[in-house]
Parts: sequence; C-alpha cells; structure tokens
Amino acid sequence: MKKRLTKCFAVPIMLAVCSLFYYFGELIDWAAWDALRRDFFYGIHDVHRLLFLVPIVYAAYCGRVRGAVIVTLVAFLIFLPRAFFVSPYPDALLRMGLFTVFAGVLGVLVGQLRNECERRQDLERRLAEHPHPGTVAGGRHE
Amino acid sequence: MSSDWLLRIVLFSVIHWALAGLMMTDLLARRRVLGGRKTPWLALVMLVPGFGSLAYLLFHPDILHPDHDADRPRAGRDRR
Repeated sequence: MKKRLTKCFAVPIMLAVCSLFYYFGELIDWAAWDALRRDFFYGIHDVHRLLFLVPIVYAAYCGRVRGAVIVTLVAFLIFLPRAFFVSPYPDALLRMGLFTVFAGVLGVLVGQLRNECERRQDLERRLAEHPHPGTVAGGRHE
Repeated sequence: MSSDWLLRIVLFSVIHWALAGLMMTDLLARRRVLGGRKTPWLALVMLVPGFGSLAYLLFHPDILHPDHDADRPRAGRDRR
C-alpha cells in the first residue's frame, strides 16, 4: 500500500521539486534569503528546464503516452509564468515551446517503446504457454 | 489589448483545454472519485483554468499509473 502510494505521488513530487528549483531565484528574492543568492539562479533557465525531463520520462515509463502528454502539458503550464512575466531574456516563449515539444516527443517515444516491450513480453509468455505454432493468435492449429 | 497579451491568453487557453480534455476523459472513465461525486470535479477542471486540472491530478495521481488503477472498468484500462 505504502509502495503504491509512493509510486503514485512520485511524479507530482518530482514536478514540485523541479518547479521549486525553476523558480528558486524568485523565491530567494521574495523570502530575502541573501545567503542563498547565486548567479546560477538568475541566468537563462534553459539548464534548469532540463530537470523537467526526469518527471516527463518517468511518467512516460509508468503512464505511457498519456502520462507523457499530461506531464509535458503540466510542465509547460509551469514554464508559462516565467515566459510571460519574469524572464528578461529574448524569445523566452519560443525557447520554452521548443523544449516542451522536444521533451513531449521524447516522452511519447519512451511510452511507445514501453508499450512495445510489454507487448513482446506478453507474446513471449503466450508462446511459452502454447508452444505449438498457430495456437497463439487465433487459437487454431494450422 | 495588445497582440502580446492576446497570444498569452490564447496559449494559456490551449494548454488549459488540452489538459482539461485529458482530465475529463479520465474522470468519465473512472468509477470512483475523491469525494464520491463527479460533478464538482468536472466543474473544477472546466472552470478553473490550469489549477483545476492540477488539483485533479494531485488528488487522482493514479491517472499516471494505468497498471495500478483499480477504480477503472477493464475496458478503460487499455494502454494508450
């Protein structure tokens, strides 16, 4: 039960941690944590965005194509406030959009690969159970 | 209204409705939801842009784990 609960909440927790890291510079400004102020948190956030690949690929592995699409859309939703209101750098929306498209495609491909792996495993198992040819798909002996 | 703001609103709307569509599909296929009634969740997902879908996702995280989804009828549990 505990393991299942942990597995279910893994993606939301990952997204929360990534979001915290993504907006950590703004959080430092808001909370006035001057001891934590580093240039890294105030530069172009292309590197910070890469961290979102972890939940996207994990969701694709667990939730297949639908999981990948959902987490990619949620990640884009998290990126939007920075693109609209925070980022002083040019083409913020374009960079975020490009990252989202590539991450989404990667996630969908991982999901499809997982589906294919599972289908093969299922076929191998059925072949092992019914070793005679022709009995696997239609249940007929040819 | 400037074209910049128009672009922002349109983009946000597209993301909202894409997410809401996915959440509503899951909501309609699900047997049980948190709280027992589907209508408030449907209203939340549709009427609260972005955050409604995030709240639904937070309270029904098994949407991302179809292997372990016991609340769904068998036909709806197929790989997508």
